[in-house]
Amino acid sequence: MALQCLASTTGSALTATPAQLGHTVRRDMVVTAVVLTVLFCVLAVLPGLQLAVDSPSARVALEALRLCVVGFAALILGLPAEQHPSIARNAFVAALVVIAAASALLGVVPSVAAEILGTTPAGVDRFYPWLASRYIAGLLFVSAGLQWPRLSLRAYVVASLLLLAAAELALFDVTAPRRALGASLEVPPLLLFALGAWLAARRAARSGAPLERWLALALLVGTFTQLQAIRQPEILGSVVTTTDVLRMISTLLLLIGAASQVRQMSRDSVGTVHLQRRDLEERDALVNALGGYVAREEAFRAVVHHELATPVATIRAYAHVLRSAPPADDRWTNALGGIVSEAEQLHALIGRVDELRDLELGAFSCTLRPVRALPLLRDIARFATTLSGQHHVHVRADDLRINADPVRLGQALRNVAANAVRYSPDGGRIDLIGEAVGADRYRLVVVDQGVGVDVDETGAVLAFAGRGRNAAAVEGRGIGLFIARRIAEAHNGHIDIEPNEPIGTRVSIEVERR
Amino acid sequence: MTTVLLVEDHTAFAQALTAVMGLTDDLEVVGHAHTAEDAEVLGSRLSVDVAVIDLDLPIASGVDVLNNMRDRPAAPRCVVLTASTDPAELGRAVEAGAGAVLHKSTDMAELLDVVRRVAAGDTVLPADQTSSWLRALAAERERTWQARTVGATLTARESQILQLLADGHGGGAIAEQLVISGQTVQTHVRNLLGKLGVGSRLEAVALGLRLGIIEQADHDR
Repeated sequence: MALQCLASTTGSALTATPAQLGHTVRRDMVVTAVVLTVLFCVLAVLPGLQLAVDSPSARVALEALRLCVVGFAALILGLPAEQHPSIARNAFVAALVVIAAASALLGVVPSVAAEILGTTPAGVDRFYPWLASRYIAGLLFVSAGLQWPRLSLRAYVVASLLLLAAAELALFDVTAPRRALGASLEVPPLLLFALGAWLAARRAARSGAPLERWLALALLVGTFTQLQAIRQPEILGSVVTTTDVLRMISTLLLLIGAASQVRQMSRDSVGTVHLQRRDLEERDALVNALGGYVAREEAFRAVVHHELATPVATIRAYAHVLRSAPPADDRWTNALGGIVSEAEQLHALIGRVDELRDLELGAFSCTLRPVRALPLLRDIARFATTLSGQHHVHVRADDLRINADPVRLGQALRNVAANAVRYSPDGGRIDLIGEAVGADRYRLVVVDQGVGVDVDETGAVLAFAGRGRNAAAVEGRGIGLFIARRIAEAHNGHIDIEPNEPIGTRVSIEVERR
Repeated sequence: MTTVLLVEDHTAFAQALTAVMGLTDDLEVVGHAHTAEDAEVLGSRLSVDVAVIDLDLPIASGVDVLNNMRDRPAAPRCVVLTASTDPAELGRAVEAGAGAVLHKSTDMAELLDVVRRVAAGDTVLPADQTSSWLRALAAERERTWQARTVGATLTARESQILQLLADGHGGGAIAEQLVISGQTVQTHVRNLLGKLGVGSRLEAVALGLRLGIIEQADHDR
């Protein structure tokens, strides 16, 4: 019943919560303990039901079966141990090896040898060698529960076998003790098995590992087996007793534990491989997508560079031609000046399209030289006037030299001025102010009477693609101020944006004075 | 008077250059070719001192025009005037015998000056730029050579699988698409990793793309 109950829950153990897991493990243990107690009581009341069959062949068959089961369990669990190291499993496998070795050396081999040679089997009727194997196995099961000492599988197996061999050599010829002593000597393995069962159940409740669950049950059976061994002392030799049958059951439970653990390990590793493969495929797709973006950006740059270069060159060539013709009047000269100036600007910017990439990489550089601030601001004023046609643009500046890249700084100021035009009502006033700050700095300020900016979002609007709440109604990408910020930084300066009192926005770019 | 042939597919730009040169006393544009073929015809019919050649032409490229001009009996001197910034392409132009290589953003006065100097027999190639262009060209040739060598060692199936990997397919999808077993795909992948001398599929794809053995995946699907 307990087995069925367990078999039905093992599959779902992986998905259970720790509380559910604890409950399941406890329930299995209690059910098994109740079944065994009932069995124990029945055997106590009706001692006649206790087995005591003197059959050398049955005994050898039982030992051989035990050897096969334990050996198989040790093998399937021990082989993958190298790939999935676990202290608990190392100790457990060593215990299986000890049980198998005892079965082989004390049961199967002597019996078969005696059968062939026609003599009495040596060791089968010895009490202490069997007892020693139970002590060692009990210690190893406790060690598995404690996960201590932290030894490799090989170290565990070798140490256990050496211990077993030493015990066998020392105790081989010691004759069986009297009944009372024999029974009391079975008590320590009983305690070890009980402790091992408790530790395994506790670990199973935490980890849900099938091996721990079945080990706990096997050791519980082992504990009752010891009780039975105390009550019905070993009848040595070729007699098969209830104790032997119980030991066989416990051994089978160990095999089930080993098999389900191996099954889960292989399921886990298949799952891991699956996940890794999916991960790799996703990464591949991501790399491809990124490659696509990079390629598209590169294509865009090439288009800007290549396709715009020729029209701009054409404008500049015609401007060159017009310049050498006699000027008609002032309007003509101004118009030509505008064409030339904007074509130069466009040309300079196209030449720097490559640097768009560097902008992101932080490798944004400017060629700084002494530049007069006043003409620069007047140029921006002209730009703002042309752009708007409706705003009143005023320039007020200390005519000092600053350390600047005129094209770049002009670009930054144009971006700021374009924002001032865009975000303030027609007919509004825009002030372009240039003022010395201390002995070696200069501040270029653009003040508008527009929608303004909130104090808490001044940082955000200077970030890439950042836009203020008040800007939502106006079309824009939030890149202009970001570029202006990078340009200001490349001028060893900074840009600040703040609300202007009583209305509008005040953007100031501070750079070095020359 | 120095006679100039413009080889330029942008008519407006060619006309602007014609106007600019028309302002000078010593330069005269005697012809305008839109393509390499036009240039060949006009070059053989007209007496040209300097050809101002754009590299990016429809059908054959400006480098073909340079090669063609160089092989003529009375070879005109050549000035490349291009919007291209691809160093390897500029390197090819230098190799093909350009007397000067200028970007279209060059100031008109400077352009006229260079045309005059090349017509007089000078070569106007800044040493540092020229050497970097030629280095880029050499690197490109090296890559092409590597690709050809590596590409030749891959079997058709391996190249196909590498391309599918580059398209973002996993082993299972590849097996399905090529109607072979997953195991066979694994074997092919292992073999091609060995041939390319790389440790992972990702590296193989990256190397394949770099060497041009495979093409970039189509991302617009």
